[in-house]
Amino acid sequence: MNKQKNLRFLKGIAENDFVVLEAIYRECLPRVRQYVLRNSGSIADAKDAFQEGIVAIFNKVSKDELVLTTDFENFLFLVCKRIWLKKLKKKERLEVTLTPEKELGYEVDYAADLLQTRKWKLFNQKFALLTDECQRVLKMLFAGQSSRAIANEMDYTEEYAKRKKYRCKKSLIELITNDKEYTHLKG
Amino acid sequence: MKDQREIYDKIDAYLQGQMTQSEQTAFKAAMKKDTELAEAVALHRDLQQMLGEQPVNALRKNLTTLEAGDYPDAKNSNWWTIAAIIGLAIIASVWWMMSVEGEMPRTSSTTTEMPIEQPAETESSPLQPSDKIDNNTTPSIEIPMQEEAEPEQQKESTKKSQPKSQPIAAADFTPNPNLEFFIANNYRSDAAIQLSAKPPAKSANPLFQLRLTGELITTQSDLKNIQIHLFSNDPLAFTEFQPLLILPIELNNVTEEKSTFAIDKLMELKAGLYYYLIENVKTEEVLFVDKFEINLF
Repeated sequence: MNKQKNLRFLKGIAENDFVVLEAIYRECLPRVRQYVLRNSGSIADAKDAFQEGIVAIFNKVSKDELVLTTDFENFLFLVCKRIWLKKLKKKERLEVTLTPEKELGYEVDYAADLLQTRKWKLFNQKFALLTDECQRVLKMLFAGQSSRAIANEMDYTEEYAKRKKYRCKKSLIELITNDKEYTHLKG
Repeated sequence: MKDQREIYDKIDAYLQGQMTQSEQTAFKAAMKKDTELAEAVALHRDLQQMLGEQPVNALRKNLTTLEAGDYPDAKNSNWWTIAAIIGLAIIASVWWMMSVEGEMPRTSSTTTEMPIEQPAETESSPLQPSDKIDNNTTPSIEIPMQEEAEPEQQKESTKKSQPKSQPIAAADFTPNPNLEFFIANNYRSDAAIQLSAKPPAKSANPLFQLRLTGELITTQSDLKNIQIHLFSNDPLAFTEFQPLLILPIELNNVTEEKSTFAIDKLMELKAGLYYYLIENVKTEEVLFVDKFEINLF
């Protein structure tokens, strides 16, 4: 087991380091892709499972320390495999109580679900279709800013800011709910 | 009719913790009554989480950018796969030749597909048991659905061979781990179901009268979307959800809790292990799973 490499990769994820992340894609994606393709998945599914796996590791390292007992590549593969199996089992309508895999030795984020990645992509895709103005307003709204703060920033009256906030959100929600991808994601 | 903007404002206030305790309680109660409202709150919450400034979103942005790149497979694994395919093609063609000469009525040209998973899988996994089964019985995996595409060949061979003395390959009764899982987890708490599959007295023709009767104890109000799916024991058939038969069940409401049904179906089934699954296809809820064996002697 390559401890140095493990540390480098974990740190790269925690710090959102683009160079390290690219190395992770180059070294680890092909094996995950192969597995998903051989188990009734598509290339898009493989990418989603992979992203979700990295996010799961990110969430874990953000909270606790993660000490790997196996190579990072192997660990990431197992995490992604778990995520893919979870999706397959959902499709088969199996109720599964996921127990920690022996190889992992501990639990990794069980909220990890391929649907999260797909949702994220859909939302961000639609968000990018909004006007620049709406994007700015909503970004502030999602950062918890009050209508007054938004009004100040955008040079609106407070009343106008409230209306704008509503209209932009409504546009975004309509874009999302009108996309048929959304119907797959509601579950 | 409430102003939609008012509703949005309320949702925002709720999600941002700006409501008083009593306002919160009232809002939660409203969500319980109104599923549309609850869904809207969930959506607004998701928007907040996925479009906000949280570090995980910055990470996802990088990952989404990166995944558009080109990441070729390592060369070794391709060779391994090709070698495996060639090896299996040889095995499959040998098996085919043997089955044509002997009195085995089935072809197994699809076996090349299933064991491909073997080479890359070295670590243990939930799927391992079925992989192992495939490994041991690769040449003899029978796929009943194949027969529907080749009825003539089958009729010919049943004329030639005597069903009574025909040995039944072990693979016909190999349990399907996914469906076994269902059964083991007692997907039958709501029902008392009896199934019988009676063969006609003497016949060279494996036509079975499938009779399924029973009581479904269910509090479901939606009785219209209940269907029964019949599966062979083939793991792929279930993974890809290709049942041998789909029949809607007409449920008769005996009481508020119990419903009865009966179906009769004449089916041509080979000897083997079969599963049936009763579910509400609208809600995708599985109500009952069980298995039965068909033996020719």
